[in-house]
Amino acid sequence: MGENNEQAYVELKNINKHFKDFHASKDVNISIPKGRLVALLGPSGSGKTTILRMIAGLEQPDSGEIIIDGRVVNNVPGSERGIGFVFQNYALFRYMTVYDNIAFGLRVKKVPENEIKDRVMELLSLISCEGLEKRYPSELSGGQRQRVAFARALAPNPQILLLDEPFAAIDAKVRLELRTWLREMITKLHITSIFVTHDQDEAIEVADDIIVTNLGRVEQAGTPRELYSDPATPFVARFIGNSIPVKNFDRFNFFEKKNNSVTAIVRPEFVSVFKKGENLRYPKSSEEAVVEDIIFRGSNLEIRVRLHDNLLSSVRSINEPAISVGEKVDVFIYRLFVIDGDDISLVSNRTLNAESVVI
Amino acid sequence: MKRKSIIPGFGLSFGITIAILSLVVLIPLCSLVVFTASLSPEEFIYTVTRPRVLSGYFVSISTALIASLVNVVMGLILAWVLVRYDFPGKRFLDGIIELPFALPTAVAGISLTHMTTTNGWVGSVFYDLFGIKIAYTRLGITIALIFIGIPFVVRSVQPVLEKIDIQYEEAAMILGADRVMTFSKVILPEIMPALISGFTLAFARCIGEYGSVVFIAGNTPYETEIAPLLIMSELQEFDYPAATSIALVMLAIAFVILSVNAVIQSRVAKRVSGLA
Repeated sequence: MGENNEQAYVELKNINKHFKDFHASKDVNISIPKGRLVALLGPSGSGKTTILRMIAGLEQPDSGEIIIDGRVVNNVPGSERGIGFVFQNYALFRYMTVYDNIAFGLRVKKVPENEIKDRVMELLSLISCEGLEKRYPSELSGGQRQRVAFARALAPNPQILLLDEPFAAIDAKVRLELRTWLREMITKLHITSIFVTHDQDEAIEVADDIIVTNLGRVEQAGTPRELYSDPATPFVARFIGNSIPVKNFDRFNFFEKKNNSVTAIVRPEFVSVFKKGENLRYPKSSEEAVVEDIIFRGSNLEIRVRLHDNLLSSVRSINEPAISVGEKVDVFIYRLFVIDGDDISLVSNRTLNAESVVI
Repeated sequence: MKRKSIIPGFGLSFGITIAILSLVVLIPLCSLVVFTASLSPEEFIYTVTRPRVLSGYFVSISTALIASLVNVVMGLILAWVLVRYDFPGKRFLDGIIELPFALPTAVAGISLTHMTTTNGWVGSVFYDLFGIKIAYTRLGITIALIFIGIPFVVRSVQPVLEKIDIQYEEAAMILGADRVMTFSKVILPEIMPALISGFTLAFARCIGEYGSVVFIAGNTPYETEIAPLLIMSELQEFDYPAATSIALVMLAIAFVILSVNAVIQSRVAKRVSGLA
């Protein structure tokens, strides 16, 4: 996306949208290639759902163009845009059976009843819900409801699938299963899909590409890895990953001020904590700090240390020698994101640079 | 071992409930049975199946049925307008809906009669243009009953309509349904239980309506004589057993209507339970 030159299938150009005084979309430009699975990620109120609803034709932009498959669809009703939509609460019709729900989009198009039957059965087996066709939505589990909503949206063979917070209404354990399921399903069908989420783990795990929105703007679009290692704005750096803001980073060993900015973002994976006496790789540039807190995360431990008035976080394997609260440890910081106004840059520990020069 | 309910006071509140129900509803209804019991079964059957009485049931039930059906349509439109659109005077209109509850029914009856006689504002127009008489006909009774029944339908449907998530309609729209399909397949099933409940409440109320009807009905035997009026005239002749016999039949009819409603409601509730 952005940098790569694949042809856009869904494109938004200079989209603006107001709800009374609220500017929900500000000059939004998005381009999504065919067959990609894209996440719209942002905090609530960032305008991600508005973008999805405009693509679906449920909202009209005040200005700008929505282009699907090379055609401007601003004045095309949602039902003729070739899209399927999975609503946040699924919006399954409560007084219809599973069968009738899935068949709805086909009956509306006056598809012959025997073809409808074949298609519904095919979808039911796709979503592994065979035998549930006579049930009502109230008789299904949360996961089943979501699958039925998915099947209903797919029934008329849409080119694009839009999903609004598809996992929000499901409990944590089923959510993880469904994420994997949805990813497999969409990959198998090779349907261009866009889903809205406020959960970065969900976006990173499920999506090919992520579009980060904030305050009605698109902050950055890219693969999860790009967003992670090369955030374009301070907001993205803060929002993606477990980001901890630090002040006066110039007081850390081997880091210096950049353009007078002294604020930065540190992630746990940028920091290593060593027990006293452990073999230090960079003894000179490590600093002594006190462990303030240790949080058991199941597969690992999060160690919180205080260094120059900043509380830093680091991940430590449970197989390494145990560290206790109050213990003095050596801390080494590999790199951090320096924030300078609206700019952000990655700064590495000078020791590492020196070493690479030597090599 | 006796387990205490989490919500305290069941014994007390249940006792009060039974006491109030008995005082206000059950004991007066029992007195109906007691008075009627002074008649032999043959006398009872004769009293409640006299041609004039049968015609009274028919007039009451047929006009109430038509009025309630009209109210289902009108009430739905009114509720729809009040829920779905914003317009100046909405609050005022919303308040006016309850007027038929608040107004003494006789006042409504007299003013409706005054308007719909062949010299009245409305009645003269209909009589001169179409030759239709309103007051002193079954049409007049029906109109009075529409007036009485409308709040039941509006107030039953309104809250349900308010609660319907717009997402259902959006889902139907994206799947390609037009407005008619969306309404008939998606919205109507949602409000159907409320419509039925509004209909039965209005119907049950209209069957027993007396005050607003007597003036506009003209009370011609076999034509525009309603069952409650027959009860009244039996009472004026101090024939209590005859009056209570007819009343008992009316009670049975009302009971059947409300029971049918209860059965329908519980079936619907079963289908959507779990999806509150």
